[in-house]
Amino acid sequence: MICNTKYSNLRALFLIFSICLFFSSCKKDIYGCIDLNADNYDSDATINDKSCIYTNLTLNFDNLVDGSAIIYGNNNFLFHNVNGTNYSVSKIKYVISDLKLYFQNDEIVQFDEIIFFNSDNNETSSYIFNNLPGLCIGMEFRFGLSAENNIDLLYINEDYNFHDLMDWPNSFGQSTSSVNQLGGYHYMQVDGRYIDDQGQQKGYSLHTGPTNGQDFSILYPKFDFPPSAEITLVMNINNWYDNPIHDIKPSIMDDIQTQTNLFENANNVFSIITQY
Amino acid sequence: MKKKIYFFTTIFILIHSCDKYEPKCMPGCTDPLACNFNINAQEDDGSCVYSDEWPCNYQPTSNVIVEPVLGFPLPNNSFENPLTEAGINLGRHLFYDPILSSDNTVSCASCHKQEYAFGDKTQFSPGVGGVLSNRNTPAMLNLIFHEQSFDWDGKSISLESQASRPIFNQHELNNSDWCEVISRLSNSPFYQDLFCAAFGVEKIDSSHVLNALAQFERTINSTNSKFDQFLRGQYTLSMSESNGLSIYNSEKGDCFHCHPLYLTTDNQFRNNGIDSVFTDLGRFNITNNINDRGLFKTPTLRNIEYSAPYMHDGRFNTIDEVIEHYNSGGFDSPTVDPLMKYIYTNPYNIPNERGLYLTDQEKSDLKAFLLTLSDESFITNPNLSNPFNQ
Repeated sequence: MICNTKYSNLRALFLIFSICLFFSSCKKDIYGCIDLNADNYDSDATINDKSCIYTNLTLNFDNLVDGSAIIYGNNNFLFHNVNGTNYSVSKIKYVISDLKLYFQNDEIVQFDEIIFFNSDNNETSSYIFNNLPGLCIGMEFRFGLSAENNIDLLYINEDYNFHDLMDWPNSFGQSTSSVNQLGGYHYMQVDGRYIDDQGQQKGYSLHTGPTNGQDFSILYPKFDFPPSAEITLVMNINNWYDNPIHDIKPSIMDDIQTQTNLFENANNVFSIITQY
Repeated sequence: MKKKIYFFTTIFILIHSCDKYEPKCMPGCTDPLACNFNINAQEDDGSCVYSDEWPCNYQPTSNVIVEPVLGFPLPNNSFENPLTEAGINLGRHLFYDPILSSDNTVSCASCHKQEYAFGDKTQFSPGVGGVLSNRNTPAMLNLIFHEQSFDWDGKSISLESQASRPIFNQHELNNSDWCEVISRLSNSPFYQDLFCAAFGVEKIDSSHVLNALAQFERTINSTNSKFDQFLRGQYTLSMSESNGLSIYNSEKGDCFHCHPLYLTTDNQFRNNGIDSVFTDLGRFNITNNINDRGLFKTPTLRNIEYSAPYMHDGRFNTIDEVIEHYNSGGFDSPTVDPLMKYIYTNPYNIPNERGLYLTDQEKSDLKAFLLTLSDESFITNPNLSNPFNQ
């Protein structure tokens, strides 16, 4: 039938084709919100008119060593700390809690959730806060869990198996008249290998948590940033070692001196990036 | 007018000529209630086969709730497949009955034996025709407390879906399709009554078989070991057991990171350094992720006394061999867990020595603690035994 098509039909086709071309080429500028992350994203809009409305915040986790991305693996001895010790990073897990978000309109929203990052599980690489009052301009959080939120068996059915993976047995704690912090859950686990004094590969577990009855969790002062719907919390592994200087050890879970060193090193470990 | 018809016909042909590049509709049985239901079928071809029907006068039985247990995650009392007395009873009969195998010779319980903590005492277990399994039969218990993944490689994500894997595995029950399984069951007046009592049905489909098996499996729970009694203040650990617990729960033995108390499994997949070269890629077979090569699911240590041999391939016959494996440091490979810290060194910087360097006393204490995870009331629980022997 195509072969029988009359000349006039071809003319009609050409006309329609021309009309289509005319309309698409003359598409006018349409003002609206052109950010995919915004609630009122307008797929037709071509020019951003600053009308975007945000009620979500995406919190991404990223871990670096002095600015270098981590290529996870036992044998990737890509990094060295302030002591010159060569090491690799195989896995990173950590938990943050007591979160507060600050907003442009002076509102502050608190969260009871504990947020667990696990480098083995891509689903934990970002966390989305919903139903917020607008763009976020500040965040406060605790690294780890406060003593009152860090009690054995407090968490038994958490997302991503937090309760199983971060178990910190009571035997590492202490309960006396002056201190009362037993076990509960790790704040952090960084596992990998390093080259020891004798040039041999040795595994290390940079694991932090309550030790000898002391709560070593860290409530950070507020991080301020430009109004954002997406932020990235960046941890620099090397900053756990540089001030005061101490070196990698295989096992530190009952090592009060190392836990203290790590606690004192904590203030410059984290930063927040908004443009990534 | 005629021109217009030509014009639209042309457009129509132009559009529809593209059809030939689309995949053809796959014919098959699209009814999930039929025994030959084909999940990939897109167009029903009238081939559906259904089980025979029988009269059913349904009398609902009581729901059964598995109670929370101190130290354990909350049990998954499934809403989709609630446990009932009759459902559990049916599942228990199916579990112990060779009727589920292609030649009526092998049942689930042929490999998952109660006296061995629902594992098997041999390295590999024979299925239909004596064909041996590729992996060691894992002990199965407390599954209701960690319903995330099942099998050594985590192939199944629910107990209901897990139950169909061995039914069609050539090394196990060796059926070729659901129709043969359902035909054997629906021809049995005994099972007609049990399916009617459990689900109020007048014919069987595969979901009834799987749901019943899953219901029984959710009752295979061990929560009354010496260690559980210790937690409840009903048992005092001996000096050796107590020292063993300290080794288990510290970085000296470093058992707890992967076998956290009280469940004793973290439900993760790990390479515990038993090989430098893999003969079985384990979790990789499911995910195709190179980081998963040689990883297997962390097994429970509960009732480890009864569940020998150990590891996915049953290579170790005794608990002592297992402890010695970890004590020796293990073997390096690209995916070995970083918690295997002493593959080349040891904690005390002794030259040319590797591994945890536990003393004989420490190894014996650790074993003494592991034996407190034995639950005699579990392996003798009459509710879990073979119902055909009663």
